[in-house]
Amino acid sequence: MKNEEPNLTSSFEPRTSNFFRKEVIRLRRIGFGIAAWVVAVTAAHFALNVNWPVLMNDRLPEAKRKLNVAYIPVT
Amino acid sequence: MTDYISAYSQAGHLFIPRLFQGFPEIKEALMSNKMQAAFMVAPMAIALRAQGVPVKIVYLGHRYGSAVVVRKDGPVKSFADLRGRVVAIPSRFSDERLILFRALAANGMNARDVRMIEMAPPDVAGALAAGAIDAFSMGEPFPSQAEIAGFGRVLFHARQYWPDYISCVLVVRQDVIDQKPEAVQVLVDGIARSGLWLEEKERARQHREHAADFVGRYYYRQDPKLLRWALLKPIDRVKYEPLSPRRADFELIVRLMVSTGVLERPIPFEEFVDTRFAEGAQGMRPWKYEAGDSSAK
Repeated sequence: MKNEEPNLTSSFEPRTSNFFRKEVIRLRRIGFGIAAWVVAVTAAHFALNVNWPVLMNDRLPEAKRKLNVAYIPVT
Repeated sequence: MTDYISAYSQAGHLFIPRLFQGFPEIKEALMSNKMQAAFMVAPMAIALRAQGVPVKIVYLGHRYGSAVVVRKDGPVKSFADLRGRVVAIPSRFSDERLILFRALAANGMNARDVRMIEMAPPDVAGALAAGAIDAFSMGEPFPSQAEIAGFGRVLFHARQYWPDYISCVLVVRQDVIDQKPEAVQVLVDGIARSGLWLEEKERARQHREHAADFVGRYYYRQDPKLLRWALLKPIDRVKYEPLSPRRADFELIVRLMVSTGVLERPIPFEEFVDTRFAEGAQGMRPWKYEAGDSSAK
């Protein structure tokens, strides 16, 4: 009688590696998404919230620095 | 305004404008040298100097532009109705407080007849609308804000009780005056040219409309419609000429400060004003700049 014992190794391994491959791809996509989000938010923050003229002015030598002039939105 | 127009000039930005929301913060920033110059109410500048802070007034920001506003549908119909009411002022050291004292005296009343409370300028219109205060004495555009919104009515403009009234002045640290007088002169010249541009005879209306647009959007972060109202209804509601600091104007402020208890003793004009930059700006011409121009001269 032919030995009908299933070959666990051959039937299990491809499925497992396929599963992990899909998982890795999924995680990589999530990783790229998070990284893209962080880059986008950081870029938006630098563009909107950082006062570049002030930052650049503060790094100039004292003699070349422009005056910082405070004002409030009232006449 | 000077910053916006000068950006189109060959010299480029003349200074770095920094937006604040209240005078106390400006005072601290000036004292700690975070700011080298500031626009602030004249009595505060005088009080700082009297306290030994090394700053001087070098120019004015404008003339007029302050008003006392009451609720349109409220009980205050005349000045006498302010008796016993709560009136918001920007600071104890403000011309808006002093104008109230002048108006009280002119109407046979005194400081005990009203209750003055200090409030940050951006909060007053909302407080009046909510009924938290009965009136406010404040600089533009807050009187305009209450008028546009429909709940406020100007009881009187500062000019009614104080001819040539001044409120905001340009204050500069003494070390900057000593070490960088040319930078201070460039700043004063720029402001003088902006004032002349806003008052330029035939084009004053157009210039004010344009200024309301860019100042509202890029500097005050307010609806340009609001500033258009403040600058044009009527056109002399706020004046930008003459902006030289005059002895008589400041001696009157000092007298009022002493008599209303916010200054211990009078201090001499020369001690808190440096007129040389205003004198240096005498021959200035208005900016040559129109809306849509790619350069300013």
